[in-house]
Amino acid sequence: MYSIPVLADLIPRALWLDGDAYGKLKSNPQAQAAAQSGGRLVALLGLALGVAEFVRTLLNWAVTPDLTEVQRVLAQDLPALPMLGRWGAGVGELLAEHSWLWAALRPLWPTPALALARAVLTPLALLLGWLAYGCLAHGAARLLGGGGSLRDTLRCTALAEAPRIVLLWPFLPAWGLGLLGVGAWVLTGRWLALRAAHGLDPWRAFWAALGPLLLEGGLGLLALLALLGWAG
Amino acid sequence: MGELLSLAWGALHLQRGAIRAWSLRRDALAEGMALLVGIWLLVGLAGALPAREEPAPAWERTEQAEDNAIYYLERSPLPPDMQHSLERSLVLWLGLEDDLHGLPRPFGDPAGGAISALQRAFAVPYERWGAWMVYSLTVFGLVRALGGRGSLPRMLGAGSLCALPHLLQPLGLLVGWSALLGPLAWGWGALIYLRAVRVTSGLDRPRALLAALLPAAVLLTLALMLLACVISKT
Repeated sequence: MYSIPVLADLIPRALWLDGDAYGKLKSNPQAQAAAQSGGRLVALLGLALGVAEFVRTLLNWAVTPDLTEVQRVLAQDLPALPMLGRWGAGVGELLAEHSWLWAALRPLWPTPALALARAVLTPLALLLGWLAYGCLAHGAARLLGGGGSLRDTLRCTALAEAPRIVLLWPFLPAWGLGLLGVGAWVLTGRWLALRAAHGLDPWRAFWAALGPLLLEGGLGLLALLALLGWAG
Repeated sequence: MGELLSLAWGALHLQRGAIRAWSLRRDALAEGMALLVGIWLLVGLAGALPAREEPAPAWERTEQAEDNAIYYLERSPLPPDMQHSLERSLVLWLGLEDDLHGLPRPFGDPAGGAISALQRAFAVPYERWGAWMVYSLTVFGLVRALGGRGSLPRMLGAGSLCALPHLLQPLGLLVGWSALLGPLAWGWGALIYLRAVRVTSGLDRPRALLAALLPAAVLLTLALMLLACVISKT
């Protein structure tokens, strides 16, 4: 039971980018016992975010027109724009009913089924994302001279996920600058986490925090290119 | 609370002492973010509140937007054929917006309208906070690269004071001076931000200015390149 007051102290401090919170998590046995490996913290956050995503997607579905109707209006109005008219028949083909564009958008368009899928997938994605990032960041930090254990890295990077609690508010847009801001906030927390977990200097910790994202981004881009090549 | 108000008043007057004292508070970042989100939420709610008068029909608002744009286009240095092309694009674009707006949705008014209004109201602080966060973290990286030694929570806490002049914006909506008070709030906020970076970074004036303005200069250059690309395609 003593874990609740310890976490109630650590989480707000991590949220406000207090590097000492991560230091305490690494060195204080009580804090370590409260956070364990970090997986329980991330799983709880993931479950809460899953519920929030469910509500957010339902709200978006309630006020969003059907994709088929949107396709019809865009296919009818957009090719008439002079700027797009210069691109010739390509625009018309792209906006046509059976184009790949609508096939790609349909799974992302808000529906009750998507809301349910997000409720289930959000906690899983958060947990797997944290685990993959933690392992890659641990490798990067060790390469850059860090001395922390994998458990330290995972525990500290779990605490760095705290800013995602902003996303619990369901009236926020699903995409955009706000989400980018939350991502930047989490990344800053991870930077502090890796500094504390591995005793790295600021620049080495910066590259250890950014490295896994660059690697994941690069792999994602390659996968997208391979998919487009396969589809085309 | 009295101390916070006094510091905020000092920051509005660009007083270095007030900005420094705010940044040295124990909860500078938490208080700063609460201030930032609170003020921009007020701006968002003021914009989302239903107008006191009956809103004009969509075609009337579209015509008004067209008239405004044509007024500025005719006074621009663009050649007449490009003006005509941009004018036509604008008319078609506004028509497309109207068509999309008129599509049926699962929830119509009043429930759907209330949900949309709440989403719009919260989108304003969220998007502006996100832009501020990404910008400020970039500036912090540049400050460190240029040799500054300021702490991150202090710099972010002081930087959040840039939202203070935006309290003018809801006032502008009430008295109908939005066109004047909006740019004034942005300019005043930028001055507070520059002063905050200078005070908290420990850099000399030219380096602090470089760190604070370089991301904006890069973004402006990219935007101008995009605009030039769009105009050349039109």
